[in-house]
Amino acid sequence: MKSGLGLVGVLVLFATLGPWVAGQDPNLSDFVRGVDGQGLPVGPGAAHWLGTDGLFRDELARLAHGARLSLAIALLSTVLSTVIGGVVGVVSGYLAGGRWGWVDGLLMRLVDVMLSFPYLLLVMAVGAALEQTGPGTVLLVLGLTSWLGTARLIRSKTMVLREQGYVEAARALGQRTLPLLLRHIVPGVVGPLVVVSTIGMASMILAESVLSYLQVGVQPPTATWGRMLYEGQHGMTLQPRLVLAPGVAILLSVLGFNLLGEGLRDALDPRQAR
Amino acid sequence: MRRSLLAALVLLGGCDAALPGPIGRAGDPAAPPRRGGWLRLASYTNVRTLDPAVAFDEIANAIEHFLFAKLLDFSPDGEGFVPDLAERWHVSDDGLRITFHLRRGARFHDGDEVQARDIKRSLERALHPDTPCPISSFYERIAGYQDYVQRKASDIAGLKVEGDYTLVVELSEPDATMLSVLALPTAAPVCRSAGARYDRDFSARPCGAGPFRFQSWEPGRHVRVERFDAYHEPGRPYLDGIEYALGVPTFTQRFKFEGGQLDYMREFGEADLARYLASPAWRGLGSWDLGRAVHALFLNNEIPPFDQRQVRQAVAAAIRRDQIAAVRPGSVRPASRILPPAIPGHNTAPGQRYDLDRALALMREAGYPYDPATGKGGYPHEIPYVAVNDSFDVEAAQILQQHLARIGLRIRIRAQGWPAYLAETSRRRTVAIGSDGWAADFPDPSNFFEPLFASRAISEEESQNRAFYRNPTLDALLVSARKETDPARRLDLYRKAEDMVLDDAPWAVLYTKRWFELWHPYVRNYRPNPARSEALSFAWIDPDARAAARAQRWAPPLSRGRIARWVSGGR
Repeated sequence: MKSGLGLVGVLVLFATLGPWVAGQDPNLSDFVRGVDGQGLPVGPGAAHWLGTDGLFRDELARLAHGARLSLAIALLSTVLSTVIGGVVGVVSGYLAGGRWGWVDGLLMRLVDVMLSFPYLLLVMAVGAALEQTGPGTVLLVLGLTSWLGTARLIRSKTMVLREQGYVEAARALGQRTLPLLLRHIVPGVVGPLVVVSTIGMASMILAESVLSYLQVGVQPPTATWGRMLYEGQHGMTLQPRLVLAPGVAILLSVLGFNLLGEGLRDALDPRQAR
Repeated sequence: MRRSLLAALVLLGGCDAALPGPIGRAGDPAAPPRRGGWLRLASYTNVRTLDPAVAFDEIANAIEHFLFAKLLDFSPDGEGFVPDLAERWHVSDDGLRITFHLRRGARFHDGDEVQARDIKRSLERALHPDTPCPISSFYERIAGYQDYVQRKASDIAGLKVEGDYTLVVELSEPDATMLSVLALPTAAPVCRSAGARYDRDFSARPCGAGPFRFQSWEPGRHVRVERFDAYHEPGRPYLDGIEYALGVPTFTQRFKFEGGQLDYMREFGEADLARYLASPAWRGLGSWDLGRAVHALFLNNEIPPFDQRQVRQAVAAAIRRDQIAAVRPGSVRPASRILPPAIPGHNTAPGQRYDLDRALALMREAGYPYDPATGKGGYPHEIPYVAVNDSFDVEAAQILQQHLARIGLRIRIRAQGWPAYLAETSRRRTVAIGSDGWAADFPDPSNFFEPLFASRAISEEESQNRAFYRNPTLDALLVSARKETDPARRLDLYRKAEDMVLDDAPWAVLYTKRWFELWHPYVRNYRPNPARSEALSFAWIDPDARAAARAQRWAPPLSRGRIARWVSGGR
């Protein structure tokens, strides 16, 4: 939990302050100080702390701007998927087996169908249908395709909660459905939602990298970690640092969010604490 | 944990200590050729068809030159032609009649003699309206072509068989490219068993009169051809056969080449190429081709702001071509003219020149003054720039974007897949600016100007003239150049045409790309042909040098060559 929090903290700090510290334009090629004697991108040095990439642009600046974008996309798409997953889960779980049970059936069959698609294929199909890809598209695509697991989890949690004595008491006292959901069910699912979305952040960072790596994500020259990985692979045997930099960044941030998510789960659900 | 981290780092970073050297030493160039041995080539692409009437990609082309003999061939020294099935030919003074005298005794792989009527039959088979031949229009000036493709005639009247060994090609108007297009595999005679009409199945058992006969083709795996012993040049070819492996990734090719499982290689990854060029062991070996392709960006003459000549000229003057080439030193070279070095008529004088002041002045004249100091002014809208995904185009575009921003043109890059790129850029009034390029089908300047810049090449969909550039003066110039029979005067006309296009700037020319070919020294008698790649039909292999070097080469138990062999399941 602590190391997770630490990693995530460093990541957030890097994303917010990094571009300012690097102080260079991530999209500007430096044909003077960014090229070494053999005509290759320079390695780490005073002019470019992490060296330059294949187009002689500052690697650190790209990494920092990439962190900002990758993190922002991951955060917003997680929010989107959490909200959709939460609402669908609560509604579905609360209505299951009742007079409105067909709504639950409909929603869950929808989830089944969407889950049976290969995830990446689905994402690429949505991306292709929208034609133009930018950060907004990626965010929407990721958000709209990743709420399925959340919905299932929250549905089962809701089904447990709705049988609790205090919920039945509230219902017996004549409380209307919406206030009942908001006052008695939602607070009970917030814990799992927080845990799921923290771990979801990690998978969003990965998914965004994969999309950019496959070039169906953000368009060049905009830097994201996945895009940098793709651009670095061509010279991998000559300049492995161009793959290592974004690779390590992805690794650490995914690790950070996973550790944090696990820590949160232990903290919020003491019965499962190990 | 620490140890595995170290191993990972070694794998990622330290795997490139030494590059194995070439196998065998260059022998005496005057040594008599030796027969035997299989030559092994590879490509990362696949072959879709081996029928010369319809195949037109580079790899299929290379294989077709093994399988099919033509009337004549491009000379390996880059100028003119050398005889193949035709011993000699004669072009009449008015340029309307080409007479080919065929050699006697040339045989098809199935035993029949190659006669004049076979050449007529094969050309009619390729140009028939039901044959999906991609370059049929190259032959449109053969007399009777139009009637034939419009099904008004059952044969091409301009192809006249005079006896068994004389073929006369009559033209409706003079066409200086006719010999070139008759040297393409499309015009190569196919066996009588292939019949008079195109048939899909022929591709599975191609049969011609070339130095090698078809042995096997496993789609996606390899094509094998074996020596045709009754080939019309006695004693040739020397090789037992050629195996062309397909769908082999470039890095696998490199490992196989190092291990001696490939004899020749041209598809290098950028980093691998740099290492071979820097390696002392390989110094002096291999060769760059001259470059048959030119890359540029097109400026759509029908879409603002590029409908204004000044804006187009400003773009051409704002680009630092040296900076684009700096990203790929070696294979990419700055270009400022349309005709690449391997094409007759190539001019070494600078064409479109970088001049930022002039570019800014032109923008001002066009009504979009831009102040570089404040960044104010310029063209008010962002312009989408279409490039092909996964190609060097995208990298070049990111440099161009910086150049164009300096004169107040903001472009937004849209990397597209190849089919989407083709569909969009060739549709009228759709894409304002994007990457473009052309590789020569045959070494002649007309093959650049006519498809790219003639008004005739404009259509609503599938326009090859992606700049939608229309210039009646140029059109007239191209027609007279096509009819000109004096080679020197003809090239002069194309120089004029080139200057005209460069000044009007429907294209901002960017760079040429050249290939590096490398082969082990035990491969003898290979001379790169500027007109095409892998002209290896008459190479031979020195078996002693190959075997001796193989025995000498000590391979550690886990050499990369072995791993590659194991991964690829090779022999």
